Amino acid sequence: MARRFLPFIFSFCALSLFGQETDSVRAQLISTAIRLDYGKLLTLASNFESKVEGGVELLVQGKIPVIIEAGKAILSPSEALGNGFYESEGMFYRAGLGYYRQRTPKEGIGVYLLYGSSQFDEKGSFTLESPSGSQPPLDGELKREGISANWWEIAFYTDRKLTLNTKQPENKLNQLFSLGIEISYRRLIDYDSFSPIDVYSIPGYGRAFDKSIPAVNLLFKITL
Amino acid sequence: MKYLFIATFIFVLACDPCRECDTFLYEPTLTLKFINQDSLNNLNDSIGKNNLRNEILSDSIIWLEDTLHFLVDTLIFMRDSIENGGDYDTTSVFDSIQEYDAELQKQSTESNSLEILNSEMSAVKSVINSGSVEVTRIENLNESFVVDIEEDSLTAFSIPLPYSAVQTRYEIEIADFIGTVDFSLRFDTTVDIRRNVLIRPDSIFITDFENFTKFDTCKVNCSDGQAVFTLYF
Repeated sequence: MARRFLPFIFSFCALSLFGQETDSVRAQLISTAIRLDYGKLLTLASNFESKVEGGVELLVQGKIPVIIEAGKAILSPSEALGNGFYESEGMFYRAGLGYYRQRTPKEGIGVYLLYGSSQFDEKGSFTLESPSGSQPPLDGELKREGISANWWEIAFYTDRKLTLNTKQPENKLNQLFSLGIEISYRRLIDYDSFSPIDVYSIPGYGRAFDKSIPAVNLLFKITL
Repeated sequence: MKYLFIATFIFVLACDPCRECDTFLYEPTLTLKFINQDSLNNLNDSIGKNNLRNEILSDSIIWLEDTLHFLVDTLIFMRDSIENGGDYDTTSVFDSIQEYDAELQKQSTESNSLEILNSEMSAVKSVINSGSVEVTRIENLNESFVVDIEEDSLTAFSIPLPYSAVQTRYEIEIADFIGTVDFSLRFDTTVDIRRNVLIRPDSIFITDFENFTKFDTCKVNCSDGQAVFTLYF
C-alpha cells in the first residue's frame, strides 16, 4: 500500500525542493523550533490509545533540519487479543536530519531520514469460557517488560506559517507559529519477539507484524 | 492541505474499537467410544454354535434327501412290478417315505430358523461394534463436573477436558457397569487466526483404567478435538 504512494510523494517533494527558489528568505545560522504533534493529542480522547509526542528541530542555515523527538504511548487495540484485553505502554524516540526548503515566505517543505527506537512493556489478559458449562472460565495473563524495537523512517514534510497579525505582515508574531504535516514511511529493523503470543503494538512505530508502514503526523511548530 | 487535515482528523475519530469481545467459548475435547465386549463375546459364541449346528443339519438334510429319492425310486419300481403281475407289499416303503419326509421338513425348518437367528445376532453385533451404547453418566472425578450427554444412545461421545490439568480421571456408567479411565494431557498455548489465545492439549493418552477390559488408543492425531479412544467393557 505504502509503496504505491511512494513515487507520488517522491515526485512531489523533488519538484518542490529543487524548483526555482523564490525570494528573499534569509537564513539564520541555526534556528530552533519546538515541534508538538497535535494529531496525537486527539488520541487522548479515545479509549483505545493515548499518545503524546514532541521534539526540537534545529534548522542549520535554514536548510538542514536536525530533529530530536520523544513521545509516550499507551496502546490498547481491540484486535490484539480476540478473547481478552491487551495494552502496550512505553516511550519512543526519533532522531535524524534532512533537507528543508522555504518555498514561499509562508510555506516550506522538507524530507528527513530518521532513526526510531522504542522501549515498552506489554500486559494483557484473556478468558476462555466453557461452551458445555461444565467448568468455570479460565483466566490467563500476559505480562512482558523491557521490550525494545528499532526502525528507520523517511519523512516528507510541509508546513505553513500562521498569520496572526494580518495588518502587519512583517510582524514577528507571524513568523512564530506554523502548522505542518509529515507523511512518513517506516521500516522495522528489529524487535524482541515472543512465541506463541508475539508483540502486537510498538509505541511510536505501529503493529509489529507490519514490517513497513506509512504514517502521518500533524505538527504544531513554534519557532524560537 | 486543509482537506488533508480534515481527512486525517476524521480517520482518527473513525476508529471504534470493540471492547465487548473479551471472552471466547472454547474448551478442549476428546472423543470416547464404548464397545460391550462381553455381549460381543456371547454373540460370537452363539453365532458359532448355531453355525456348527447348521452344518450338521445341512449334512443330515442332504442324507435325508438322498434317502427319500432312493425310497421314491423303490416305490415307483414296486408299483411298476405290481402292474406287470409282481407281488410286493409297498406299505412299509410308503411309511418310511412319510417318516423321512417329516424329518426333512423338521430339520429344514430348524436350519432356516438358525439362519434367521444368526442374521439377527450379526445385526446386533454390528450395532455393538459401531459403539452404540446407552451411557448413563460420565463424570470428571478431579474437577467434579458431569458431562452433559445430549442423547442416551450414541456411537461416539465428545468429552470436555479440563483447561489445564495434566492428569484427569473420568468415571463412566453404562447400565449396571461402572469403569474409570485416567488421561494424561500435555498443553500448549496457541493463537488462532482471530488472535484468540487458546490453551490446547497437543498430546493426550490413557495412563490407567479400571473395569474396562482393554482400550484402543488414537494412532495418528492425539490432540485436542482429534483424539479418539475406544474402551471395551
